[in-house]
Amino acid sequence: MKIKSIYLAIIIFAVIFVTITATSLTGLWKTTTDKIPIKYADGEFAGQYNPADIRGSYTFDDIHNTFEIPLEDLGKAFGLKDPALFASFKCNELETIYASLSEEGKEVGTASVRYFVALYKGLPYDVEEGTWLLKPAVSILKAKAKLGDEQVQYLDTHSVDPVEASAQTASSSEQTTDVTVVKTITGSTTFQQLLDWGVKIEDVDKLLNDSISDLGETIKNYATRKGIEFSTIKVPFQTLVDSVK
Amino acid sequence: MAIKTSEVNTAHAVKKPKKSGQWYRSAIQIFFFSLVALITINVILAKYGWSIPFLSTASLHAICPFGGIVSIYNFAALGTFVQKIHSSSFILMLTAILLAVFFGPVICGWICPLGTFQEWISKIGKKIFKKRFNNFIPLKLDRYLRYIRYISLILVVYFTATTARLVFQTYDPYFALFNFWSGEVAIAAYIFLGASIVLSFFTERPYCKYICPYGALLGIFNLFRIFKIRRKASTCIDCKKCDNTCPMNITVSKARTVYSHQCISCMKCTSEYSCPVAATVEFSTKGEKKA
Repeated sequence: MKIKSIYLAIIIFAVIFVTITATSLTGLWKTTTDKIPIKYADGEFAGQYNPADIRGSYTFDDIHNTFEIPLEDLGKAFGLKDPALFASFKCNELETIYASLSEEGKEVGTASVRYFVALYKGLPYDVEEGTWLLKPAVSILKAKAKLGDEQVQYLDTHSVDPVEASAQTASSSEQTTDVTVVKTITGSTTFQQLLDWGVKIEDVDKLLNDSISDLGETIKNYATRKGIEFSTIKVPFQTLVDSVK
Repeated sequence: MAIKTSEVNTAHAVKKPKKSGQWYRSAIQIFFFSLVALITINVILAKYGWSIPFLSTASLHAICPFGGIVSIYNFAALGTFVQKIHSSSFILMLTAILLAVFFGPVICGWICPLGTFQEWISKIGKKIFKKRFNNFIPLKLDRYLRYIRYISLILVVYFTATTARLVFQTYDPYFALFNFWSGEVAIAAYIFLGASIVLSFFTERPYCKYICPYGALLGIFNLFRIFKIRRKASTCIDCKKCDNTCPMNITVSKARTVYSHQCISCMKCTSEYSCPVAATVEFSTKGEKKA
């Protein structure tokens, strides 16, 4: 049996797109993570979420939901000033803010969040070489977690002051002490955050043709409650945020 | 024993080189290159609230089958993928393997946008260097250089497994090609992309031949793929057109069946494209019985 190039072209095309379609319909095809870390398969901690699987795209809200760590602790531990931004802050944003530290072999990023979560919850985790925490994180851990002597020693020698660290990255210093995140509408963005970003409440009401009673409610929840597709109102809200100077 | 052209003329229908067969491959290559480029652009548009309808906003890693390969160890050991890799990469990996079992590395020859990009640049190189093109490196040296990509494969899989990070992104010219403006590309990846571009003026698919870890893996399937490039010695006129057309410098004219790990199943050597004798070099399941 021989095959001609036209049939090979058709087969290649068909195999790839039929597979993608079939796996999409069955829910197997995923191009993003579920924001839920894997669980320990065995041992003392079997069934508990494994902090080693926290990804850079996870927000502090995702971590709060899975590991039950208060948002306030997460936000303060990683040098965020504005509580309204704690929930939507993504772990990988730390790497940008503290980029200058990496030149010294110190990394404050997603691995730092994993380590913080592991210590906070008393879960086993092999800390990666070069992983550093911020001093507020160490203070929180000393106050709330059960730490061994070795862990305390590690933390004391592997922590940096957030202000000093961010000052090293001139461009990011302002972000750390002030806003620290890109103003992007996500599933966890609340109406209060919009106001904090400078959007006027009148504009929000006008856009929704409704008066917002609970500013702490997320836009996504509001949309779900009203039977509106979140994606359809996300775009005009983002435009509104982008228009604020 | 080679048959003279005059004999073939009487015994077999000699046809002029026909390029229609390659049109299908070019169409598929253009389609997948455009698709990947558009998806990359769509990711950026989506951040600003714009996006092209019905087009994915998946990351480049999510639509690359090699992500599945480097994630195998992590998946087996922990039940999860390495950073930035999702189930889509795994599904594409399995699809690519299925295709490779039947047809060899068609992913390389027909789909890979980086391979396509190098081919486009090489068209300029061919015009400049003519017969010298694709023949700059001495054969003896070249033979050994072709195995570098297996070292590359071992290193990539090992370091990804031990760090659970997508270490290859740092060196990946494919990522650099579609994200060169993003600020996420490491200098090493720019260097590999730049070197691939420059070398493509001198040789066909330099990255594929010497470095690509994914090509190395898929090349192994050439040993047992169901459809193979086969040459019918009884009708071959030994004109070497198959050898000269092969982008990977495989000496098709000396083989009855091509098992080379470098073959990318592009079918350029076949009677459908360069071979002037009908039904002499074909992509088939069964070859000619030895006399």
